[in-house]
Amino acid sequence: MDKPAHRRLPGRRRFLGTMTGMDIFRIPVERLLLLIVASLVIFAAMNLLPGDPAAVMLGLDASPESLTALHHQLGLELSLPSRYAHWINAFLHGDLGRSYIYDVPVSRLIGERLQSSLPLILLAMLLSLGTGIPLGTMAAANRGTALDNGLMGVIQLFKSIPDFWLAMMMTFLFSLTLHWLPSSGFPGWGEGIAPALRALTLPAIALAIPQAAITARFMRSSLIETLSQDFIRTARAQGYSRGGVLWRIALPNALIPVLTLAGIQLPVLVTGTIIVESVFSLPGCGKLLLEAVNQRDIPVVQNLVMLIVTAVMILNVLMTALVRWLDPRLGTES
Amino acid sequence: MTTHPNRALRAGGILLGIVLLPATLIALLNGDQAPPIDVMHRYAPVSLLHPLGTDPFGRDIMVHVLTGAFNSVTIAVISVCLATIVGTVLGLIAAARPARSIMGLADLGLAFPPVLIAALLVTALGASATGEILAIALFGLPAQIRITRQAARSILIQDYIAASRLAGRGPVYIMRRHVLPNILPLLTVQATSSLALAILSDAGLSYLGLGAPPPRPNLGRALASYQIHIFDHPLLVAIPGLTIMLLVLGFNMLGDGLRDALDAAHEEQTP
Repeated sequence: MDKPAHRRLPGRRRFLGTMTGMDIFRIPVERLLLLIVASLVIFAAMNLLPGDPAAVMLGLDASPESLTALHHQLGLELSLPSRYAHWINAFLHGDLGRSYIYDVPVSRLIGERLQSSLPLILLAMLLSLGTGIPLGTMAAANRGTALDNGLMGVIQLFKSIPDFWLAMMMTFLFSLTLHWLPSSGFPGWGEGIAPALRALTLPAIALAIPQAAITARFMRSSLIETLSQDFIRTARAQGYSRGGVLWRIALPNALIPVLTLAGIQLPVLVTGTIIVESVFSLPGCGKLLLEAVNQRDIPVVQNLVMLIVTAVMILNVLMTALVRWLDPRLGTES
Repeated sequence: MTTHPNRALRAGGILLGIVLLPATLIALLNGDQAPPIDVMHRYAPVSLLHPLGTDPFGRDIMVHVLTGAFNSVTIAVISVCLATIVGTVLGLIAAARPARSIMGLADLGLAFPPVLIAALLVTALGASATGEILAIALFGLPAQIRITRQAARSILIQDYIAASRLAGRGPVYIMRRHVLPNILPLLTVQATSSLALAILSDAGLSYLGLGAPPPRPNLGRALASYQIHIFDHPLLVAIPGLTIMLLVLGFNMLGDGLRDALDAAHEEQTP
């Protein structure tokens, strides 16, 4: 199926050149199939399970006429397959429906909420990679020493802290006691960048710390494993210094699995964001989702969940492609 | 830690013991319901009667938190058992034959964090313990399938499997007699580490109100209800969180210790 490895020039990293003809199509097609399954799951959960959304929305004392009218407005009298087709068609055209509760387009709600959610996730990801990778490298470079043991102990501890509890304790320390940073709310970007960033700092740190611990731990074992490979010994024999081998040869190789991990951890980060937004009362997508769940605002739940799943899936494909581009060996494995 | 497998094992055991023994004791004595509300004794200080004082409802904080811990661990254990059993069966099937559909479903888990599954289930059916267990189990399933499949494959390529096959044994027999006993230690390690994740998931879901509904207390809901008192009574927030941390740390260390012990046993077998 694959080209023999020796025919490929070393060091040549063409994006598509690392995949076989089938791979180029297989991975996106598989992800697409998964997305379709995901959409079916979401649709089924929202539409097949018992309970009439119109009755829920209008309350117990709704008149039959208003129920029928709402049924018509929601398209509930259509058959299930045509409702599904209708939904997917609209979703693909960027029409995410109308919120039952707010009576505005769901896309506008989500767009507003992304203003805090997206920077928060990005900030948390940067922070966790930016601290986890150096710490893991430090532990691996000093393997077996007191520094390594100490770092691993701290990492184990932070891996076990629930991020939302950490968030609460940090608000107690930094907002309520020291008054350094705001404890809740989000002023929006209109007020300038500084206050918005200040509002996002504590949530991002709370989100990043457990992720950084996971990254550091993984980075450490990845680097230790890389350092035990034959090509490291070869490089040492060729006259590279210990530090030169670590920085120039081992580190780039060891970073690749860490990037894969970052892709895998993405859903965990999404979960964390939803919870941390709730702790800091940030008006983000997580808060929107929870409000919608509590008010049974089905169009919001259905489309927001689908949007998150789609985004995670797309990022996952991009991450896989990036990792394969960086490390052509991976494409030839399976 | 990696150099002292038994130390991690012991530390994990001690941490879990600190929480789980009194929690079980209290659950046996008091049942799994919250301690009674007693408005006459709100915010009682630390005393012999109330070792950690009482909360804004006059409930004993220690009893409340430990009962919550018992309920949270129960949910976590049930979810992990469910994920382990279903994941092992699916993983074995996927190992025995090229089953792209099973692995594809496992990939689906990459995109569905438990909070989204729980959000869907709660919107459709309302909050329930069953829904929460399902959400946590579904999230743990993909890893379980992958690990089982990978481990089973490394057994299936052994010569004695071929010999067994030549002797006329069917796939079910081979899985049950040869593969399963061999991968059981690994599955135990995996289940222990999954418990740590399940407890974190339970705490998060309950905090958001997507977990098991009242009246049974649990750690996440305790945190949510005490959060507004963080300024005047920070200990109220610290205690349930520390309890979650002890449990997660305990299961993580127990899992690590078991894994190291397992590796050590392997190295002894194949010098």
